Amino acid sequence: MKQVYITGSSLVCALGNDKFQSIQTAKKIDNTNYKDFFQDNHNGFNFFKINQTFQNEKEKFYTILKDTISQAIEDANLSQEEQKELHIFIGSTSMSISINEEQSQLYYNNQSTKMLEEVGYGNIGTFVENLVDSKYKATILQTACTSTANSISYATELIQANKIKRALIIGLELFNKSTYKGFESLMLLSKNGIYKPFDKESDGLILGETCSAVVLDSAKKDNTCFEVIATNTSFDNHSITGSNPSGETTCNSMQKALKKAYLTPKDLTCIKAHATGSENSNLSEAKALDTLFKTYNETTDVVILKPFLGHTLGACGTSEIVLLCEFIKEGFIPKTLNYQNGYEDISFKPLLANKPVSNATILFQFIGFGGSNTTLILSNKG
Amino acid sequence: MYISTTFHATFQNKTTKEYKQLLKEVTQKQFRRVSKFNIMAIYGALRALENKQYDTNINIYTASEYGCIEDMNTVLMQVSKTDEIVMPFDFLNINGNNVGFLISEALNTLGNNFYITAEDVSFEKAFELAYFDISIDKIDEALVGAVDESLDYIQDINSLIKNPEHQKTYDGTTWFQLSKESKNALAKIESLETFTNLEELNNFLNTLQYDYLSLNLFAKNKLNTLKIDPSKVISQSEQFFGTYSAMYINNLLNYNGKLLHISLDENNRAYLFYFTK
Repeated sequence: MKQVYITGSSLVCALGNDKFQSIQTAKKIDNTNYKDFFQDNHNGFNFFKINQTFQNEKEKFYTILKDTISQAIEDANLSQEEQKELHIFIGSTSMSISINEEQSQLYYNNQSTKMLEEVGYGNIGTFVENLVDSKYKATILQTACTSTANSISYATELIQANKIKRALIIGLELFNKSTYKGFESLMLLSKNGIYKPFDKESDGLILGETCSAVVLDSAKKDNTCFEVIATNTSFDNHSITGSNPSGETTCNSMQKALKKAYLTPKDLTCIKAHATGSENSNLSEAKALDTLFKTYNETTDVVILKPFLGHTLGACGTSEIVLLCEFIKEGFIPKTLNYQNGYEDISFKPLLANKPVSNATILFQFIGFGGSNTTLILSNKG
Repeated sequence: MYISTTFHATFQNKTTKEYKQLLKEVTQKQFRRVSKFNIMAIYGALRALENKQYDTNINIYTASEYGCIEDMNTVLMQVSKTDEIVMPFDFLNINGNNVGFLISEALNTLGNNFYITAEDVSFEKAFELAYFDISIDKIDEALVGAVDESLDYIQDINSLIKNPEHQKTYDGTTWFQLSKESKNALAKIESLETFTNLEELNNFLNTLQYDYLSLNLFAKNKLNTLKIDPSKVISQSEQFFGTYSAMYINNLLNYNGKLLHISLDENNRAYLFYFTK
């Protein structure tokens, strides 16, 4: 079975317009200046906004997508011939609905006779195929907030099985009213604008926009590359929007991934929790982690990234992997922002101070609407 | 690998209410405030596995070219008006992946669910992933569906979608159960091959023997370029929906012998399905 490495990556998000700028911004954020960075920066919404200006939603969508892909390919140092061998996977929950929102607004205001700009999202894949000159058909995978994590998992398995040579996985979530208002109607959004997952005072999540990408390859580029050493996906049939309060499925998914990697929690540098900030999801996942640690009678550090990026939904797989891997390349795993008080019956606390590391083995956990639980274990210790 | 069972239905733009009536024929479960797209998918999936044995851990792969368009339009109308609230169920309905959860709920399954789009070849891509998952022994069974709504009510729709022959669009829901189990199988899947251009495809076609052949609309347009025997091409329904090639394959499986289906995308990338029955 072939090994699979992340050989290139990129991140455009509220922290910056590339991964290097993003990590430098992230390093400056702490609990005291948190609100200065993120509060109300999107026309009165609590939202983590990409700091770029565009004429319209279509220009924004395709410009950010193009920039992100170009950065990832440059980072992977792919030749034009190598780009042709890229199998493309795109994960997102909202896709290009922002473009249709803009068009339908014109339509309903009698400024256009055209109701929709696009029907279906396959054209996004075609755009990327043409951009990178890939020989292959792009796959758009939607499994809610696990979309890109599942895309990485699929691409990894295809490379391991020698079905494909390399893959480009893109996560994309840009601001759109449908998603924002949808989460608002589900009463999941924070009102106070301080994102504090796993804290018992958390009043909800804050959405964020991002475009991020990773290149997966069977050939290791250098010693900083992270290897995908195990993946697992499990289904939680509890509810379409909520995890089983027992945390059973999430715990099982993490255990299965650990077993596939021949690891236990003590072998991990940290677990990157999904940690959305919504009460049900927080409690379920915290219970899952608690059970995991008690089952093995071992612990590891728990890292939470959404206070840096916002909840980037289907793109959080790529955006959080890129951000944490970059933190590690900077020499540490990051503290949990805004955390003060944990739940009474949970025995662990997330990491509260930056911790120096030179390399790492990380379990990434992702959980989505519709019951999807995806666990990825990455390491650059090999 | 085998196709254990299939189901296919097309309808002329039925309402959600009409689909709920149809659904009552196959389940007593209630699906309230669920979109037309999701109801169509649940109906097809339930009909496919009606009175059939299936593994509780069966994975579900739902393919769609256009997704939940009717309900997306409802949400777009809501967000176009400043003060309008997006209702929770309307929002959840436009999240394509939720269809898998609802089908799992209807079938009482515990396998994973995936919602897949790939322009021109969404069903083919979903089938490919399911085929791969079974071939690497990740799962024993898969339910692969193709679901798309009628779009004729959208003005100038053919400027927005790829409907090569500008056919009338239908609601379509087509499902295939894939399994390692040969017992009572409808057909054997001999292979599923992909090609990045017509030359590669034609080289492979030269090595194959077959009795009947089905072509998607892009492949049909390349009839004179493909190295095939035109007399073996079967005629297909003139009904069109986004993931219509699933319907074509379902039709092909009515024939006996060595069966071939070829789907091309607009750039001549090819999917070749080879069945024996």
